[in-house]
Amino acid sequence: MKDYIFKRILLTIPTIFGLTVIVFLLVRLLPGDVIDAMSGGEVAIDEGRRKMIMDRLGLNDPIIVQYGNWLKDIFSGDLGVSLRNAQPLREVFLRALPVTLEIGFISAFIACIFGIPLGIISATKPNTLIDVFVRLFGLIGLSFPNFWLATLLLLFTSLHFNWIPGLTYVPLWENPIGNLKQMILPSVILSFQLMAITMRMTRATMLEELKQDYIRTARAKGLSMKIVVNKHAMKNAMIPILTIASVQLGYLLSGSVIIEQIFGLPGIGWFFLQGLLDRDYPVVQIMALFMVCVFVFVNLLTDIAYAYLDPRIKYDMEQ
Amino acid sequence: MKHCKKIISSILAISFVVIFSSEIVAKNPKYGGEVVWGIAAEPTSLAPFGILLGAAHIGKQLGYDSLVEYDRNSNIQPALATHWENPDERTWIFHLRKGVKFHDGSNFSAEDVIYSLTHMRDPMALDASAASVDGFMPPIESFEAIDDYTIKIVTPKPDATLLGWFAWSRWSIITSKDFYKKFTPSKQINGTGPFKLVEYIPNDRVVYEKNKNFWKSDQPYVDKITLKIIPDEATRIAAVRSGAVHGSRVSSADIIRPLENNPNIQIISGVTAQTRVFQISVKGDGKPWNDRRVRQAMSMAVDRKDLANKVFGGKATLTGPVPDSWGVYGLSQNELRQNIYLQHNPDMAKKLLASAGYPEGFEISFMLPTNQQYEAIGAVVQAHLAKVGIKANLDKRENAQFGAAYGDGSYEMFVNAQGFRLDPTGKLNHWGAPSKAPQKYWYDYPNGWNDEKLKVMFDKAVSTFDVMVRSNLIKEIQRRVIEEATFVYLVNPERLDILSVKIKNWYTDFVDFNQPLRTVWLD
Repeated sequence: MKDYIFKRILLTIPTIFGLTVIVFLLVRLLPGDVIDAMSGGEVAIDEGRRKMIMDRLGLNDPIIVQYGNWLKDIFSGDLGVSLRNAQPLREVFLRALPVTLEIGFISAFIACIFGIPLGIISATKPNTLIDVFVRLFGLIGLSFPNFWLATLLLLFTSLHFNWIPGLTYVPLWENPIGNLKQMILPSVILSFQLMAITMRMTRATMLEELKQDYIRTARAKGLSMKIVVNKHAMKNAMIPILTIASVQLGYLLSGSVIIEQIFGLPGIGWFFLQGLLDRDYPVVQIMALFMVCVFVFVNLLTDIAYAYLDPRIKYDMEQ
Repeated sequence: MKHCKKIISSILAISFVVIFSSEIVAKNPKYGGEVVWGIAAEPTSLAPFGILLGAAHIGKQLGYDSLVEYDRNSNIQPALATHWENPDERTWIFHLRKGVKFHDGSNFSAEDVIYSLTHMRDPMALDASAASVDGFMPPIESFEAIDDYTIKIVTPKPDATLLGWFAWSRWSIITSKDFYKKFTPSKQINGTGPFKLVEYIPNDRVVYEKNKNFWKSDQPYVDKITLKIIPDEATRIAAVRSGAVHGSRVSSADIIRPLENNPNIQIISGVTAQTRVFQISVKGDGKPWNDRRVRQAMSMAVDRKDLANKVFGGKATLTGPVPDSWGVYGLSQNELRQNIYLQHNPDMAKKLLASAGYPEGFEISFMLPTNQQYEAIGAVVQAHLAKVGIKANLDKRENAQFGAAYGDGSYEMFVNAQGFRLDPTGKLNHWGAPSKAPQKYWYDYPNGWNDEKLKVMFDKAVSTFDVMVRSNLIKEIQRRVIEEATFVYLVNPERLDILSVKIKNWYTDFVDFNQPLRTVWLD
């Protein structure tokens, strides 16, 4: 088991390294640069001045030098500075991180605590009224884009209750109640899709497991349905659920790009988008690298969880 | 002597305006409270100098002043300079206000103006770490402090636009000496304005508190202002409706129809100088734009009334290069309505195209910024042009892509907004003193376009101090530009603000941005 985990961790190193190259190059392939973004079709900047600015910002250095400087900034923990306003990115990143992590965790939590039980209920009572309702809910969750739902809910609450979630971000550790009031609506909206996917996947895999011979044997032994589901079927059904849920967890981050904008929350997603529009390469690189790392580490944790849930994986590795 | 008389008459005219306008004082203002204002874009930086387009100005305009300022009627008023004089046509003497303090408590004097002038001319010299470039500043030959409270500025040629530059205070900020050494320019403010910066949290909020030492002793009225950054317009409107913010700007009259009968909300609209305009580039053999008839046909193909109704909910007016609301310099609505080149006349447009050798029309790439409003303009105008045979293929580009194409001239035609400038002549500089990009893709090309008469008229308008003579010149240039259809002017949409009824003393600032926040109070 230890070897398996160690090997999986080792594999993440070249993965992340490769991704730094991709992130670094991709952002530079976008047409236009920070100067074009600033001029925005209103002011034309002549070549001499453009060269001077690019020199000063280090954007005329050979690409390998720029990449090396970026890696140096990352390893020093400094993360570089914004091209637009010279703000230290470490400060910007550390301020934005809790916002995005909080929305992500609350959303994942809501998705799991509702998605998995609803899927089990639906699977254990197939083709009943409750199953129909749960499936319908799943379909709605999958079909409605979260930005549309967010706008609609804001319209509804402002129109009928003269209320919208607090717009000025309050950190959790400063005012937990105020923070949760602010975070709950965006998190619920962001969780809808994941909840629907988790629910549908739980239902499908549970239905599959409940048809297996070992379930029939367990039932024949006289075990209650509750024990059969929780002790036997659930553990086997969890592997595909975990796979889907973990992949989707990464997508929560991309969803948060829009949700943060709609609710005015200063998180990673908003900075990423702003950086992209401004062609502020260091901002985009660091925010994209963070998202990439989240994907990699979530997958790593999923693989480790597999080994725990499915002894065959451990066995294969040992072989 | 003749010139000096003209200058004196101009100064008298301005002084009259000053005296007249200063009579308009706020009635029964109330003091105290906090105003929360929703803004669409992140200020990015609060650095006083250099071009950081868009919201950056909103972040700093509450904290800084310049030598002069615009009042609510767009007249130039004294600010950090109490008065000024022109001993000759190239020399400006500004007498500075005494007893003014910066937010850090230091005294304002001529050396601060010298420091600021030095760096507004070359912002890159100050801050190499962040991208910023110089902008619209008129050429200045020299400047010096005559004493602690008197500044002398000499321009290379007679230049009537200099006062407008200082009144356009978001570009001509006066900060304290050595500001860039003592402060972090992107995150701090040290000005003489009505509000002191408390905190700036990127992508979240900018918070200011009242400057108790503000040189207008009765202002500001509110204790605190928070600019809340809310990029999504639907959220901003919901926030105003729920009372979470006191007000915000909105993009279209159609969006706020449901708020019209809301007793808690007031809608204030008025014109600014955000003219929507087609710009074209001349490439290759110069076709089709080098033929005046083609450009005129395009102008006549556009149904401006339809455009105003469909995109701006009817809240947009006809415009030439200088909006009609800009003092005595714009062409009147009546004159614009009667101008045949601004009238919707598809039959004439077809005839003009046929006579220019395009009886079947032609195909053109039409670049737009990716923005709901411009995309709507593109769709409406595309249909208008199609009726006369011009097939405009929409090419939507986000800001940086748009800026890149504008810079290198790799477009055939685009639509955008031309915002406020330091002076009405700033709206005409494409025809007199173009920046490099239009010069390269419009004037210099072998098959490009040139009009020496227009350039002469422009130079004269810049150097003429007499208001009425300038006005006539500027109007004449506009008539010629509209007839030549060198750019095709579409409409000038109104600015729309939705506000809580508690907000008093708000007005539509012709100069744009949120200058009225400096003088609002809460009921």
